[in-house]
Amino acid sequence: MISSIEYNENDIQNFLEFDNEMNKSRSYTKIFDRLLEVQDKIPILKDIDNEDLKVILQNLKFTKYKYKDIVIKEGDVSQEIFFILAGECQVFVNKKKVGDLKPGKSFGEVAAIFHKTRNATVACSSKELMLLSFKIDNDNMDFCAAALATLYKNLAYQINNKLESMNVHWH
Amino acid sequence: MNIDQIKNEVKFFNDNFFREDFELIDNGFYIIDGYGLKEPRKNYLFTFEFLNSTFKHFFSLDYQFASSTLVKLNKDINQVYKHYEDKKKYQDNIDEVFELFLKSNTLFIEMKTRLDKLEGNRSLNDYDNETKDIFTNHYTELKAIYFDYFKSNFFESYRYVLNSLKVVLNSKSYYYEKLLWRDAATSENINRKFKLLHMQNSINSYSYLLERLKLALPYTDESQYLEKCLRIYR
Repeated sequence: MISSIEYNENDIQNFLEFDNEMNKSRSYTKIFDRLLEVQDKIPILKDIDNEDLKVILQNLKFTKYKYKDIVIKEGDVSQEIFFILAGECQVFVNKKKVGDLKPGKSFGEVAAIFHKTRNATVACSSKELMLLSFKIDNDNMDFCAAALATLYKNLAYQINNKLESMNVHWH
Repeated sequence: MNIDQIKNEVKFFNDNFFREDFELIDNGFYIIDGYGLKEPRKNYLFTFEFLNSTFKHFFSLDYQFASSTLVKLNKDINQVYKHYEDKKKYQDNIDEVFELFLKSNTLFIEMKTRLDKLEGNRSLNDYDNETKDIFTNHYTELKAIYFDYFKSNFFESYRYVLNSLKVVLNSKSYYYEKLLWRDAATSENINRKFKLLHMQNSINSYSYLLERLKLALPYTDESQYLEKCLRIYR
């Protein structure tokens, strides 16, 4: 047998007070505001609602690197996805250079999705490099499935683009 | 055999089986939709056990700390959570529920009684044995037909119940957390505890989780759970 809990007007007011409080605190943190400013430029974050973005992304960071700084190292365990806002990077596999990355490109998707070790080293090759990095928070899947599905679709599209450009290169 | 009759019998049973859940869901949505309460996208439901253990701990420090709203919410959320956990286990135990259905259905009760009688009778002649085999086959076939309809109807309701309970619980967990800290901040005894933990300036789940993590053994289920909760309140 269930016992029905009756909430009165006072209880409801108590709940609603928190919502008002939350709306006030919705002036997102500075870092999230910065993300929203550049969201249009980031293909993997396309078509994702602002509210959802705040939930599905974690460890959001804007980081500056200098020439020759290592961003990720082959074999390392980490799950950040990186997006180049300014500057350039070089990609190395077994200490051999295999490519360059320019602004508008992202990297690190494979390790983020499959939780594998990094399959390449990426280093800053310009005077300065500005990167946006984040992890995907899958723990909210039950309540944010649509946004995560869009994010994974965008990531798949991005990986496919990379594979296609590799095919063009090899032929 | 009348298919509509089978469907009706199955639906009647399942509606009854989920009756209390439907009631909890309707009550939950009545409050959420009726008053425009929040349906959070973050998984606050995941933190339910942390919140509940915190509530109990605060209650042990000051049995008067909780406002009437929090007391109601605590009772409500525990009730809904119990139903949610209880229903979750039926994902892989549909056979168990189907057995309940068979035991409640007049036709199957009568057939089973007759079958038991035939099986228990050791002085059956050839004719009786043949009748028994035909009857057993008929019973098994009928059971299989019923099971197909039962399964599809059951899972349709099951998915609705589980998903809706999750939404209701998530919303309630969100407010549970807010009220918990608001009420805790007004209690002298609990504040003394916060003072000991050096968290007077930020009385919230995040700070408290950080303190709990300091005490938890690393790499244990508990510490991993607390770390995940921490991410939700980051």
